[in-house]
Amino acid sequence: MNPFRKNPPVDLKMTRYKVQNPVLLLLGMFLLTACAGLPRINAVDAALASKTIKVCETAFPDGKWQFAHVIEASFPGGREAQLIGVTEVSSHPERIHAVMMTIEGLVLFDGLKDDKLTINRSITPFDSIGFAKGLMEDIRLIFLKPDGEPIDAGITENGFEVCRYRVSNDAVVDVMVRPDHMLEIRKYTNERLIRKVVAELSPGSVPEKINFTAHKPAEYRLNLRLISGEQITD
Amino acid sequence: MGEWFEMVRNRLTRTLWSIWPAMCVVLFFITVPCAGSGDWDRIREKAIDIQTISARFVQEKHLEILIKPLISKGAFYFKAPGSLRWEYFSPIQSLLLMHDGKVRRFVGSESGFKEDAGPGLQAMEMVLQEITRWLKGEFTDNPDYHSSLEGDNKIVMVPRNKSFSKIIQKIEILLSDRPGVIETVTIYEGKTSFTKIRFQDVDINQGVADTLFESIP
Repeated sequence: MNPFRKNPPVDLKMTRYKVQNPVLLLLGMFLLTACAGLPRINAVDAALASKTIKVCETAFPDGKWQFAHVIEASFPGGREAQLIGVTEVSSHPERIHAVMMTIEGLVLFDGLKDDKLTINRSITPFDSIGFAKGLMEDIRLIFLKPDGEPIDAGITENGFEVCRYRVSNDAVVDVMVRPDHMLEIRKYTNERLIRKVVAELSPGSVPEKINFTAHKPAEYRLNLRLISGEQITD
Repeated sequence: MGEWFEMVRNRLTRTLWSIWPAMCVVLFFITVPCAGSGDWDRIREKAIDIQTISARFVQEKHLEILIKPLISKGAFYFKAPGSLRWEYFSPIQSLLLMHDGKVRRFVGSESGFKEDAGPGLQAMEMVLQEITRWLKGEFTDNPDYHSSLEGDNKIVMVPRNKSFSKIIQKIEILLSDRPGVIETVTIYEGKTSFTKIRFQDVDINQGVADTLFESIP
């Protein structure tokens, strides 16, 4: 018996349904809405899930690394800019030091994020806390594995190994390891895609080419090309 | 984000403009006899004979965070009265052209060179006026910098404007033992943050084709 229908319709065009149980209807709508933005992860057996989780963990540089990239930024309207970015990341303890400079070597931003955010140097408009926070979050998304254990692990509709992490109350991050040493990271907030990273990895999980797309709240694209990548041993 | 982008462009333009007087001094001093005599007038007289300059450069970026300096390489060409080509080959391909009163900037990417036609270019045209003045040896007249000779072969330029000095603390120009050749230019942002440009293969008055200021890769 269909709980949402009391009398069967005579004319589909004139159909009106009388809802028997509005609570169930609301619950159904909620469930549909909740799942609408996140891609499906096909379940796998425990052994394969465990293997997938390990693959996701090794897709990120481990320890302390320093990278220098050429950054090509594209904004709506066809506007573009080129910068050089130097990033030092440490997985344990978690620490990010980021410097952005012009081609001529002028430092526009120098910031450090460990247990607090420190701005060493910034030139307007890079001197806002909002910019610094956003930059550090984006760098963390690209170079460091999400915290904690995944809430799900399996295979995507396209057959890629994927791990899903909950990074906050309203945000999840999907880490997909694609064939040919490609890594894809997607961040969803309230099930809406806000960040997408596609990285070409070299041995040691060093990201050589990175395509970064920001969807919300502002749209922009970054293409990062590796100049140098070195592991630092203290 | 659009307003932010425009602010970035305008800020970079003003900053670049603050650097260019120093670069003019570089271009000027790259061709003059050793300034150890401390005679600004004699240096100014020698500037009249400069018609063309060509050189390669290696740029080292030093930062406390860097394990080793970040290296960029390029070349520049100058032809009197006001044609300039400042080109980076690596790690970024970038080209700045000034010719026939026009300024054009190009940035290289995987799909080739793209022209950057932002509002900053208008400021670059004004900088050209300044370049021409410097190349006549009138560098001490620039109100934005205090220039001094230290020892036999070092010129030090310090911004007078406090807002500029927060971006660039000072510029040091080291003259080579070879008369008329600059060895290095160092731009200090702080004690541990500086950019050093080393000039190589400097040719003076050897002829520079106009096509260098008209063509892009």
